[in-house]
Amino acid sequence: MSVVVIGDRKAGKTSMVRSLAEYGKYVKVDDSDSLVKELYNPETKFIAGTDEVQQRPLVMNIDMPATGVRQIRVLWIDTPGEFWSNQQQRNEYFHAWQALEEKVRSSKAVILLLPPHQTLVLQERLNHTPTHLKPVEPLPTAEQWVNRLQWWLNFFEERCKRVKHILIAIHKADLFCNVKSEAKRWQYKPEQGGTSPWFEYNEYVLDTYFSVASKDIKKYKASEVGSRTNFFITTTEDQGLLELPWLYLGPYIAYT
Amino acid sequence: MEYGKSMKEALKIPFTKPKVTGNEIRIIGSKKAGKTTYLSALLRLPEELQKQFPGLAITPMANDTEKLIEATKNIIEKGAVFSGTDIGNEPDFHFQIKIPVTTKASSITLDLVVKDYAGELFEMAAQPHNWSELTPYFDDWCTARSWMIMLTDWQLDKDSREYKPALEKLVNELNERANINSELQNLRIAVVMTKCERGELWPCRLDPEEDLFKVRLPQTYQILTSKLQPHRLRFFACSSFGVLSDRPGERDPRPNRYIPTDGSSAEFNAFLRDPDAWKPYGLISPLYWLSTGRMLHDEHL
Repeated sequence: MSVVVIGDRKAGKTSMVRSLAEYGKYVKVDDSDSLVKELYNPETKFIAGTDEVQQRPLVMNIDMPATGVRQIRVLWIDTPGEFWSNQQQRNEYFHAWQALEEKVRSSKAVILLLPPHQTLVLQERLNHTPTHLKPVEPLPTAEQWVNRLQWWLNFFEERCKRVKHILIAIHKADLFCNVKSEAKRWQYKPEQGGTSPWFEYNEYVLDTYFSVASKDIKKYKASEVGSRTNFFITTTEDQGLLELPWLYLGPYIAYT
Repeated sequence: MEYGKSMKEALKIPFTKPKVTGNEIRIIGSKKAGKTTYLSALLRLPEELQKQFPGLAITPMANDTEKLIEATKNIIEKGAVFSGTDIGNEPDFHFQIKIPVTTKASSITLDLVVKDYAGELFEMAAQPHNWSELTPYFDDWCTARSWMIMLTDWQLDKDSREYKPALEKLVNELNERANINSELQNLRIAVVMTKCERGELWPCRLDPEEDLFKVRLPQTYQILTSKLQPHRLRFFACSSFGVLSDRPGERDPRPNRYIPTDGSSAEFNAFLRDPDAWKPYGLISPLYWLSTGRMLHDEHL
């Protein structure tokens, strides 16, 4: 099964997988050392932007909610952010864009990482954020963010009819919420049978963090693609939250 | 001495081999009818059903079956739903159902190979221009002895625009082939209304032919009954989720499913509300009839 990670430039696509490879607790990546070395400079903690489609088979060990650890083969595809955010680049490299789009359309699952919008982020929290976690580019305003999300939802509805699972996450949750307390509530707890029911988590995240776009999301959820879409918050600063999308996908990947 | 006596007594009891009936079944039906969910609920055999029917047992006989049981535990029971089956990637499930002895029938074991098909295929049958694409699948369906047709909607346009034309085409083709291959004249078809935990259907589950199909899908009902001999056709109602409780004294007929409030379509995006109270309804009786030609007189199964 192929899982594609997409998102605009500097959304944190590569860092998500890097963090799983380095610190995964219930979602572990085999041969993670070499993957980590490839993906970032441990001294500066900066991750180089992905400038071409990177594709690599990963063997992941995912702790299943009801049956324990299962080894799963995933074709992980990381995509350059520029393609998604820059229309001009899409026009200039039309064939490359088409090939990328085809990869996304034919994958089984797509994880979209969104940045938080300005209204969500507390300045106080931002001031105390370590440099390597600070947003490289200005965060979008709530309006820009909703417009961008709408673009993605249209993209999924029009182009991703065959994709079985669409997961949309606001990444960098450390900039807008207390990740420890959110993780405490929602993280995977094998001793208690797994996570809370997925629909509960999904509803909470939508109400709390996606509320500026609630009208658009409601309309989108009524579509067939929308009914296969789940919403998350993720951060590299807390494995409990970062692993949730993968723990959700795990049983489906194992089954197909 | 005691040992010898009991052995002697034991030898007096005529040895009866447990009856095993084999069958190969194709599950066909509209998109989102809950075909995979039906199979997963059946194979998982929730505890509530086991409690009510001691001795009822499902034994997986192949790897795909075990994988589905595992997926059920990890997906349905954790508040998520199955994603649709892909065309060309239809899994085969081989399992045995041991049905304990009842006052009306002796114990029997059904040895079943069931194949679950993508809903798009059924929809194709309703569109004449898609028939050539469907033919290889139809050829495969005709190698089985039984079909289970699963339907879930009752809107009049579904009845007239999808279910009736699709089933008319399938049954016409089947009857034509039966002229050449006489074995097909015995192929049984169980037509099942799924998701009967829905309030408007739950009271109709006891007589599905009269109260569900005749009333809600009149054109589909008419075409099936006019083209198939009565002994080859039966109508059933089932619910993979069931209701919260049907125990005397604590009846709670609300569906055991949670419908999200985020705008998702209620019919196609519901989750098991209380896994501990999970008690599906009517899962086994269509399989029993397809395999034996007799009705199982316990509607809960």
